[in-house]
Amino acid sequence: MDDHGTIVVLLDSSPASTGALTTAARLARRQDSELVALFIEDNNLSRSAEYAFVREISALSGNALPFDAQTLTNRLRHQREHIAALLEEEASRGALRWRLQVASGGIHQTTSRAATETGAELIVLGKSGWSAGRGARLGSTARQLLLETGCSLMLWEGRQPPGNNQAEDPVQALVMDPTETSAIVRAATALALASERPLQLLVSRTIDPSRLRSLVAELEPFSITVSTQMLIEQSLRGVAHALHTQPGSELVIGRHTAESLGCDSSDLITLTNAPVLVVS
Amino acid sequence: MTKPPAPLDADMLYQRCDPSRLPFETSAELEPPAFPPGQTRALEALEFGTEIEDGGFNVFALGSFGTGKYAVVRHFLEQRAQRDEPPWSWGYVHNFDDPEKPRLLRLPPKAGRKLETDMENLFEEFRTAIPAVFESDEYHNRVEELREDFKQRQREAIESIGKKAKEKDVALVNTRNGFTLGPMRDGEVLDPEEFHKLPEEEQEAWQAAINELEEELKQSLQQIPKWQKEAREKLQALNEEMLWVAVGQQLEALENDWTHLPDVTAHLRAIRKDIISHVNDLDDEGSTVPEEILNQYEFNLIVDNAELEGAPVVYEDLPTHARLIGRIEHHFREGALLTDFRLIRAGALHRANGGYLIIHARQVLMQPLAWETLKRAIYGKQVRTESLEQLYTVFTPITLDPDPVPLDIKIVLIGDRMLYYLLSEYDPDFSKLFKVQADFEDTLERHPEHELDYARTLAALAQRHNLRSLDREAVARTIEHASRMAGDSEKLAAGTRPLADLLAEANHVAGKSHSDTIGPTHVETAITRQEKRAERLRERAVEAILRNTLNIPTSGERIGAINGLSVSQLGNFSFGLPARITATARPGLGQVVDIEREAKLGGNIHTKAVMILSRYLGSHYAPDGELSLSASVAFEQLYGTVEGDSASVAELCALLSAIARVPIHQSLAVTGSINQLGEVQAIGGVNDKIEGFFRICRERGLDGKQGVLIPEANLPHLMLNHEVRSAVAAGRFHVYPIARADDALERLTGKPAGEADSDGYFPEGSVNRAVADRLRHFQSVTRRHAFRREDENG
Repeated sequence: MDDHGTIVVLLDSSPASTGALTTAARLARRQDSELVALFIEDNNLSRSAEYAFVREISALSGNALPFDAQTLTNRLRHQREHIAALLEEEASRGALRWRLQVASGGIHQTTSRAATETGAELIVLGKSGWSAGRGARLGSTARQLLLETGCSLMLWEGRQPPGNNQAEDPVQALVMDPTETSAIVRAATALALASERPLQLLVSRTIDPSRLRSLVAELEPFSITVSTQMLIEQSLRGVAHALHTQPGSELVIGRHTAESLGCDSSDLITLTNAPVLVVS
Repeated sequence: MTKPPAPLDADMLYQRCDPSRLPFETSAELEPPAFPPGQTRALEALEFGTEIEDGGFNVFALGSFGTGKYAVVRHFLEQRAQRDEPPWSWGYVHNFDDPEKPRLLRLPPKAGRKLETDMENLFEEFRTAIPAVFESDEYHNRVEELREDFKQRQREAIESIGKKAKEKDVALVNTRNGFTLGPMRDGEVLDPEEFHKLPEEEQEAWQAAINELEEELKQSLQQIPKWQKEAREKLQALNEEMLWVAVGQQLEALENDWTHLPDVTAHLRAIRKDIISHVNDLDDEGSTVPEEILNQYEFNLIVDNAELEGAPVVYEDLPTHARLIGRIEHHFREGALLTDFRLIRAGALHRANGGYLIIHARQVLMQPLAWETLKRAIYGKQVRTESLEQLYTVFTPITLDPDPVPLDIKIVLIGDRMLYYLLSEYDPDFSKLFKVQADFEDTLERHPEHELDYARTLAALAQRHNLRSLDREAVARTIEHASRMAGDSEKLAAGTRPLADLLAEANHVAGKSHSDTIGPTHVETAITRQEKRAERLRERAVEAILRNTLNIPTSGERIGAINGLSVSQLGNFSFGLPARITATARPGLGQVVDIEREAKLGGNIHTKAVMILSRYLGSHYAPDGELSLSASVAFEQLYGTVEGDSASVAELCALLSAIARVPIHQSLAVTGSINQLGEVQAIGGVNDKIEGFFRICRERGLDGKQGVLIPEANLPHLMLNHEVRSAVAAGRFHVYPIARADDALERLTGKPAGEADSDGYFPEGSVNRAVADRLRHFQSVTRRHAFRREDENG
C-alpha cells in the first residue's frame, strides 16, 4: 500500500461495516489517502421488492413480513443517512479526505468497478454483512471480491475497531510465501504504525533465515517493536495455535498464503475473529 | 459492798499476733491459699450451685462491700471450670433458603477455628481457581465450538434453502432483517418487467416455487430460536461443568473432612448448590465470583473455644442488653442501614455458654432492660440476639432473626445483702432463677490456723498486685490491723479490698525507704497515713472540744452531767468522740422526758433505750410504789440525730446523779446499754469510742484519773491503738469494764452504789440510798401538792 492512494470502504450500516469504517479512516489518515465510502443499493433487493408476491422472512422469528418497493426505499434512505452521519462523525476526529459514493447494482461487481474507477489499492469491508448474525463467517461479497478483485482486501469482523483490543496485542503478519513476503510485511508495518502497536511476524520454517534478518533490519527505521515467531508446523492448525497463543489485533496475509497452507483463503480468514488484511 | 470495777491491764486491750508463731521469714515463701479462709459456707454454696444441673440453681453471692466476693467467686469458678470439658464453639452461616434467618452451627471447641480457616482457604481457592478455569484454553475452545456448532447449524439450514432455491431458479437475497426470495436468471433477480412478460403459467410456477421456499425458509428459521436455546443450555451446562471443575474438588474434600458434622456438610452442599446457581453472575472481566456472593459463604465464628482448657469463666463488667445477648451490627450503604449474618456479634451469654458468667447485680439492674433480658435467657434456656429497637419496634432497620443459641450456663450474681433481700422480696422471678445464696462472712475466727491462712492471703495479694513481699512482723501487724478492722480481737476482717489498699500503700512507703520487703513500720505508717487523710472532720471536732466550743470537761465533778461516747462513720472511716449528756430531776408523775425524742432528733432505738432505763428506775428504786419523778435527759450541743442504745448507761448515771445530787467524775466517759434489770450490755465501736475520749484527754494532758467505762461484754472486742495501750500501761489512762449499772455508779461517783437489803432498803451513804431517799422526797412533795390541790378544789 502506497501513500496518497485511495481506500474504498464498503458500507451497509451493518455492525461490521461500522468497524471497517473506523479502521479505513485511520489508515487513510496515516497514508493521507482519500477515503471513498461506497454504499451500494443492491439491485437484487430492488427487483425483489417490486414483486407483489415476495415477502421478507424474518431471520429472527421466521415470520413473513411485507416487503415492497416503498419499504425498501425507506430502508435504503435510512441506511444512507446513517452512513453519512457515521462519516461525518469519523471526519470530525481528524483531517480526512473522504467522499460518499452511492451506487446501485450487484454488490461485488459494483465494488470492483468502483475500486477500478477510483484507482483504489485497498478495499475495506466486513467479513460478512447482515448475514454475519445468521451463521455466515465469510459473506458472499467478500468471497467474490477475494476471487475477482486485484486490490488488497481488509476484512472486518464485529463492531470493535482494533484500538479497543488490548494495547499490547500486535499486528500479526503471516509470512509463508517468499514471493509475498515484502508486500505482507510492508502492509503490516503500515497497520502497526497506524494503530501504534507492535508487529509480530509469524514465520514459516521455509523462509530463509537470512531473508528474515534482512526483513527485520528493513523495519529498524520505523519506531515499532518487531518480534518473530516461528510456526510449529506449516498448516492451518499451526497458524491456529499461534493465533490462539498470542492473539493479535489484525492479521495480514497474502493472496497465496492459504495455498501455502493447503487450505482456502476463507478457512484462513475465518480462523480468527480479528480483522484480516489480504494483501495483493 | 462490792468493789468498784478494777481497770484493765494494758495487755487486755489488744490481741497481739506473735510473729514467732508464723513459720516463714517473708510472705514470698507462702503459697496462696487454695480458698479464702473463713468462707466455707459461701464456698459450699458455690460448690452446690455449680454442681446441680438445673437452670434455676444460679448463685447470688452476697456479702458486705469489699469482702472480696468477686475474687473468691472468680477463683472458685476458675478452679471448678478446669474440671469441665470446654464447651461448643458457635458460629453463624448464611441461610440460603431464608437469608434473614442465619443458621447456627454448633461445633466441637477446636472445630470452629478449623472450619473458619477451611472456609477462608476455600474462598481463596474460589478466587483463583474459578478465573483459571474460565480463562483456560479448553473452556474457550469449547465455547467456540458451541458457538460454531450453532452457527453451522444455522448456516447449513440457510444454505440448504439457498441450494434448493438455486435449483428452482429462485434467488435467496439477504436483507437487513432476514431474507427475501425472487425469480432468478443468470444469478440475478429477474427484472419484474421481464417477469410479467413471461407466460402466465411460468409466472405461476415461479410464484409457487417461491411460496414453497418461503414456507420452507420460515420453518427453518423458526427452528433457530430453539437451536439458540439449546446452545444456551449447552453453554450453561458447560459453565456449570467448568465451575464444578473449579470448586467441586475442594468442596468434596471439605465435605469428606466434615462428615462427622452433618450440619457443616449440609451447609457445604448448600454452598455447592448456590455457587453453581451463580454461574451466570461471574464478573465479565476475569470470571471472578463477585464478592457479595463469596461473602455469603463465609463463616462467622462468634464463639471460639479452641484455646479453652476447661469451661469458660466470663465476667461482664458492663452487662447491658446488647453486651449480654450480643448484637447485630449494621453498615451504612447508599443511605440504608444494611446487615447480614457476618455482622452478628456474640454477647457475654454466648461467650460464657457451657461455663460460668459473673455479673455484679447492681450493674445489671442499672442497665435498661438488661435484668429482664437476663431472666428471659435463663428461663428460655436460649440466647436470642435481638436489639432493643427490634424488641420494642421503636426503630427497625433491616435486621436478622438468627437461630437462637441453646444456653447451658451458671450465672453468679454478686451483690450486697440489701440487694439480695430486695430482689427476693419484690421480684418473684428472682427466687426461681437464683436459688442458691452464697453468703460471705464479713469476719472470720482469729486463731493460729486462720492467721496462717490470712498470711497466705496477704502473700497472694502482694503477688497479684506486684507488691514487695511482707516480712513476718509486717504480716503480724497486718493481721492485728485486720482484727481492728473487724472490731474484734477474736476475729479477722474477711474483706481483701481494704487490705489490698493498705498493702499497696505500705509497699509505696517501703519503696521510698529503699526496702526490699514490707516491714511492720511500713504497715504502721500506711495505717497512720490512711487515718490521717480521712480525719479532717475528726480534727475539727476535737479542736472544737479543746477550745471548749463543745463543752466536754475531762476533769472535776458535776451533778447531772456525764461524758457519753458516740461513733461517727464517714465513708470507710469511723471515729469516736465524747458527747455531753445531762439530766434534770424534779418531783413529778413518773415521767422521764427524752428531749431528743421530743425534738424529733432521737431514733426509735434510742427512744426504746430511754424507756428501758425508765422502767429500770421504777423497778429498782420504787418497786412497790409510784415513781414521783419528772426527769429529762439530753445530748448537749448535738445538732444531728441520735440513734442506738449505747448511751443508755450514761443517761441512767446522769439521771441518778441529778436525782441523788451526787456528782460524777468528769474525767471518765462511759458507754454501754442497759436492760431493765440494770445489766450492762455490749455496744459497737468500742475501740473508736475509747480512742476518741483518749484523744481529748491526751490533748488536755493525761492526769492518771481519766478513763473510759465499757461493758464487760466488749472486752473481747478490744483492739486499741498503741498510744492508748501505752498510757494504760503507764497508769495515765484507764479502761474499766462494767457489768451492772451499779458498777458504773460506783466508778463514776467514787461512792458505793449500795445493794438493797431484804426489805428493799439501800445502805446509808450509798448512791442508791441517796437516789431512793430523794425519790421518796419527791413522792412526799408530790403528795403534799396533791393534797393541797384537793383542798383548794374543795
